[in-house]
Amino acid sequence: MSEPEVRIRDLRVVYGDGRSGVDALGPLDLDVMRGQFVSVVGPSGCGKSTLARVLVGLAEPSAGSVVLAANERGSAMPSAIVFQDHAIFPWKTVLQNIAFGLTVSGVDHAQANARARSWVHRMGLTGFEDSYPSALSGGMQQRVGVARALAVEPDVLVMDEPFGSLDALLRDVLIEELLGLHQDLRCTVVFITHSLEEALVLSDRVVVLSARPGRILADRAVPFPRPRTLEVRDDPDFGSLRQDLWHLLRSQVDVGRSADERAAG
Amino acid sequence: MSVPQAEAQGSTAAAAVAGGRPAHRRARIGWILPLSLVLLWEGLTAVGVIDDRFFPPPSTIGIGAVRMVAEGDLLGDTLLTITRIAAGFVIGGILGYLTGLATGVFLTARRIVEPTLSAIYTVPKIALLPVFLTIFGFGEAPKIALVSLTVFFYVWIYTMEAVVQIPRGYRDAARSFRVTRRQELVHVVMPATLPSVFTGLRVAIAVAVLVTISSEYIVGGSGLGYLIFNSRALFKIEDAFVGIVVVAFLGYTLQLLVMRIGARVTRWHGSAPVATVRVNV
Repeated sequence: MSEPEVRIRDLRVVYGDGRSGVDALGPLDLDVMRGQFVSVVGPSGCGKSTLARVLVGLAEPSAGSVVLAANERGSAMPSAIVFQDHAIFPWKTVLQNIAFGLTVSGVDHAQANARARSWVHRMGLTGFEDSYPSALSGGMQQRVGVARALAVEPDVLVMDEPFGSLDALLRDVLIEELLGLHQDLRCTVVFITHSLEEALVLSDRVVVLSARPGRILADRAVPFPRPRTLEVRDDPDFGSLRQDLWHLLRSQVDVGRSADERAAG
Repeated sequence: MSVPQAEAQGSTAAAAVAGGRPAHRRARIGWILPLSLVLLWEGLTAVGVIDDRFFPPPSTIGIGAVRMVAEGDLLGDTLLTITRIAAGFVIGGILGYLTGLATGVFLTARRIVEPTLSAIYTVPKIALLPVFLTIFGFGEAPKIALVSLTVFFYVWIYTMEAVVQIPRGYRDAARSFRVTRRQELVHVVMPATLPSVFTGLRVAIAVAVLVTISSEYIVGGSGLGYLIFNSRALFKIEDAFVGIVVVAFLGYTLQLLVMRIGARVTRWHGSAPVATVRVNV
């Protein structure tokens, strides 16, 4: 039994301080093994984005521990994140955006550019190296965001609803691309989403969080073999798994609503 | 990975159209109004509706300008005024930008200085001229100091607000790569605020013209402000109008210059900076 790449124990995050603090997340235990693709789904406001932020050091646990094995190994970039919005810098070109993580961690200019260039090609952005994001479509902008995170070769890739603002067709295209990337790189991914379909197509495991403060309600293995395509959606097991998780989620949406109504009343 | 070429090229083509020809057409439309007014003015003086002793027609002003350039005082006064504006603009701009960054980035700094600066901000700067004359004596110093102060406030406020309003996502994206504070400043804060800083600079240069002319008007001796004031006092109405026209052109040109530089350094920004003008001299 190897050590998990991500080891979360009794994690709690409270926003604000003292008695006026709001419980955002937890207590929560979660292990993610190396190379595993784990999706975290949950109703709005359940703290799943908070979990993503903790994993990349943008938020601090209020209690409990989050251990990245990469940190222990002394990795240069234990984790990197892809956001839904404001992901890439509009004042930097495509190449500069992708090279950003390398540049700020002290990789020399020529090498950073060379590595960024290889990601430009890999993500199908050839010819747009010197374009600014404003000249790119939403899908291409998000490819830049993914490339920027992957260029630093993070041990854990965190994705916080990365396809949330794309139209359905484009989302499918990017999901297929991500399946291909994961197939090639075998990287550890924690993927935050509110779409069960996205989660089931992409993941090895789907973790369902409760309404705020998010706790783990279910942790299901996704049995479909890899390499995968979007066609797993047609598998009869896909439908039943989705149905099963949907019922769990559905109950939480109602819980959240009645809690809000109580608070309002 | 597949390359969605059509998708990409479509959007760049759209961007090119948005920033191309229509902009030139907009620029041309801007000339219609001033040219019509000039023609109307000329026409009304020719038929005698406007008294040309008090409002000399544009043609007379044009001839007057040529004469004044030949006599040698117009260019000299214009240069002096430009020098004062430029000196004040550079000093006030740099100090305002640095203060804006510092107060934008550090909440404590903002809390310490903001009430004081806001109080001074509301004082019409030209009202401080007597104070500055007392401090700096006569000569260039009080005028340049006054222009600097005016420019400082605009640039400071625009910069500070821009820093505060940087979407959190940009900073988070940078911080997720474990950047240092200095890297965050250089890679996020400074570029993200440039469009607003240039909006502030554009407003500031316009007000700098106004303050420079006013202080020349009051202090006297030299510059376009003095030329306008003095000519009127000597009933050389035509010369006063020449001065007014030169000031108008100067203000227009300097604003255009700042906007052009701004557009160049913020090429990545979709639209040209638009001034929400808050004039408070």
